[in-house]
Amino acid sequence: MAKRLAGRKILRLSSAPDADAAYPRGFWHALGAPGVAWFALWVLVPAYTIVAVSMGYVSDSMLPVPEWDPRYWNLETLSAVVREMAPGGIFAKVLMNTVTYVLGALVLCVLIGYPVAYYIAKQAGRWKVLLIVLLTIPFWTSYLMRMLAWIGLLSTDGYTNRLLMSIGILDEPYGWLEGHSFVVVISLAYGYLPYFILPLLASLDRIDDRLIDAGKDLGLSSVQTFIRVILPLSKAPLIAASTVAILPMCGDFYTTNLMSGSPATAMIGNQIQVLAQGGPQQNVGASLALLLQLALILLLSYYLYSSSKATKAVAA
Amino acid sequence: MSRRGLLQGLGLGAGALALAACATREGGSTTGNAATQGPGGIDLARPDSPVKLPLYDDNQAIKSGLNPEAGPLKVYCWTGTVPKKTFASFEEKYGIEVRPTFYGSPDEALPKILSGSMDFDVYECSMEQLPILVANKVIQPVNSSYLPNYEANVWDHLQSPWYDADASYTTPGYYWSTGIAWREDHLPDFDPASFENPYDAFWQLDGIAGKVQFFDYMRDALAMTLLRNGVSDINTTEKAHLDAAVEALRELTERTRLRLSTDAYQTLAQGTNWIEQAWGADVYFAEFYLPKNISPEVLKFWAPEDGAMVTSDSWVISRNAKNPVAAHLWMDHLLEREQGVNTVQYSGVITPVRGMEMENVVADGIMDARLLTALPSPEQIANGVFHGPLSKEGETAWQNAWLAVKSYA
Repeated sequence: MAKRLAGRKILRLSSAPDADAAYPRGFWHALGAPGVAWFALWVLVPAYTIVAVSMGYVSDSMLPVPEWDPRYWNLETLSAVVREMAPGGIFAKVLMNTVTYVLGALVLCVLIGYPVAYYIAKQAGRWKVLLIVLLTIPFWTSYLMRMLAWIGLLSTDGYTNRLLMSIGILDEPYGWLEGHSFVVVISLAYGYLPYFILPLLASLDRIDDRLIDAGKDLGLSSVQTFIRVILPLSKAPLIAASTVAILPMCGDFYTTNLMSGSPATAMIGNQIQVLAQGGPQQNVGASLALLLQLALILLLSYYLYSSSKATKAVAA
Repeated sequence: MSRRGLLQGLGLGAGALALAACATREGGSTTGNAATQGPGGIDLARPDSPVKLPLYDDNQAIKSGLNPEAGPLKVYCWTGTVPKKTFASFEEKYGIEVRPTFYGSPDEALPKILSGSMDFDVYECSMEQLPILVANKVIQPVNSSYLPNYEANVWDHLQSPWYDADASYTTPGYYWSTGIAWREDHLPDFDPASFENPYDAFWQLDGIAGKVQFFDYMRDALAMTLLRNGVSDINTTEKAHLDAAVEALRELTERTRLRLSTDAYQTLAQGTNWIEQAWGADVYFAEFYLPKNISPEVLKFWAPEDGAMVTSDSWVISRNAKNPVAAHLWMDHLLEREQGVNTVQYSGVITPVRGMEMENVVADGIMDARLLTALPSPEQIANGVFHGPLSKEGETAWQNAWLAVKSYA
C-alpha cells in the first residue's frame, strides 16, 4: 500500500502557525507542569529508587540501604541475578514460565481478541456502542475480584465442573485449580483480554474502509483482502495491543497464586514478591524488578520504533 | 522514540556502569557473631536461652502516672485476630476511639514499619521481628505500672518470656499451633498418629495429588519439612538441613502438585484440598466456609503433644506513638480474661491468661469440644518448638531455600 501511495502528493490539514499566539507565553508548559511533576514524583522517583536499592546493600538490621550516587553503584547483585537466570540458576525456571505463559496468553488474546475487535470496529453497525460498553464491563470490578470469581467457577464443585459433568464431558470433577500451567495461561488471557481488545479496537476502527473496498474492487477475494490488506494494516495495532497486554502480564504474580498456587507454575513476579517484601535480600528483589523493567523498556522501545517507522512509511 | 534517542539512552546507562566500575564505598559490614546474634548484635533468643533485649538511653519508656491521651488510638494488627467486641469494649471503658489498620501477614507489615510509612501506636508483632524492631529503635520499652493485668493474669512462665526476658518491650499476644488438617470424609482411614513420623504423611499418602497444601510462609513451610526430615531445631541455618528440606518439598511438589497458599481454612472447607499444613485456628475458621450439607465433624487437626510447632506474637508500642499511655491501656485491656474469651471465639487463638487454658476453654463451653485438638494446650506451649529470630546470614540462607522451593528450581 505504501508503495502504491509513493510519489503521490499527500494533502494534509495544517493548523495556522500562530495558533498558540492567543495564549499567554508559557501557558502550555504551565498546563503540563502538574502532570509532569506527578509523573516525576510517582514514576521516575520510584523507578530510580529500585535502581538505587538494587545497587546498594541491606544493613545488618535488614534495612535496604540504597546507593543513590551512580559512582558508587555495586553491580554485583545485578550480575549475580543475571547469572541465576541462566539454565540451572535459581531463576531459570520462573523466567521460562513467565515467557511461556505470557506468550501463550498473548496467542489466546490474539485468537480471541482480534476477531472480536475487528467485528466491533468494522461489522457491528448500530450495535457498536453497546458492544463497546459491554467490553468495558470487566473494568467495573477489580482484576483481583474477577480472578476470585473464577475460583468459584473452577473449584471442584464449581459451575464449570457441574456443567461439564451434566453434559457428559466429565465423569468426575476435574481439578482445575490443582497447579496446572494451562489454567494459568487461560487465566492470564482472560484477565488481560480487555486490555488487549480496547486499544486494538480503537486502532482497527481507524483503518480506512476505502482501502478494504479498493482491495475487493481490484479482484481480491475476502480471504485475500484480509491477508493482503487488513492484516498488514493491523500490524501496528496488534503490536500496540500486545504491548499493553504484555507489560502487566510479565510482572503478574497473583494470577498464578490464585489459580494454581503451585511452585511449579511460579512466575518471576512471585520471586520479586518474596524478595522485595522484606528480609536480607531486598537488593536482589530490586535487581530482579530492575531486569524485568529493562526487558519491558526494550519491548516498549521496539513498539515505539516500529510505530514511528510505520507512520513515516505512510507519510512517505 | 528515534533510533538516536534510544542509543543516547543506552549510552547514559553505559556511562553510569563505567562510573560504577571506578568507585567503591564501604557498606554492608557485619558485626558481632553472625551465628548467634541478630540485628544490632542482639543475641538470638531461644526457649532454652532467653534474651534480655537492650534498652537505650535515647529510647526510654514513658513516665508513670500520666493521663491517657485523647486518641484516636492507632492499632496495627493481623486481619481477623482482634474481635470487634474488644475494640468496642476498650472504647467504652476508656472513651478513646480505636482506629485499627489490618495487615495480611507480619512480613507485609514489617517493611512499612521500618520505612516509617506506617503511623501506628501499637502493633501486633511476630516474635521473629522483635530484635529488628528493637535494634532499629522503632518500638519503645513498656512501663509496667500501666500493665497491672500482666502480673495478675498472664501465665506464670510468660511473666518473663524467653524472647523478651523481663518483658521490657512486649505484652503477650496470642498462641496457636501448626499441624496437619484434613478432611475425614475424603481421607476416612487417615490417622497421623499411625505414622512413625506423622509429618511424613504428606509424602506417604497415595491418591492426594492436587489436594495438598502447605503455607506460603517461609518459616512455617520449611520448619514442618525440617521436622519431617527429623531435624528438631526449626531455627537451624545449616545448609545441609535446608537443602534437604528444599529437596523434600520439591519431591512433594512433583508428587502431589503441592499448593502454597495462606487460605488453608477456605480450601479445606471447599474441598479444594484434602490434607494441609494448617494452624489450629484454621479448622475453627473452616467451619464457616463449609457447604451447608457437610458436618464440621469432618474437619480434623493434629499436632503432637511434645514438640509441636507453636507460634505466638506480642504487642509492642511505636517509639513515635502519639498515644503511648492509651497504647499501654490497650495492651492491658487485652490481658483481661473476657477479651481472651472474645478472641478465642472470634479467631480460634489462645490469649495466655489464667482461665484460658485449653481445658478450661472447652470445659467452660467457650469452644466446642470438637476443637480440643485445634487449641494449643499448656503442655504443647511448654514443650513446643518456636520460630526464633535469625541472624542476617541465617535469614539469607532461609530465604534462598524458600526461593528454591517457590521457583521449583
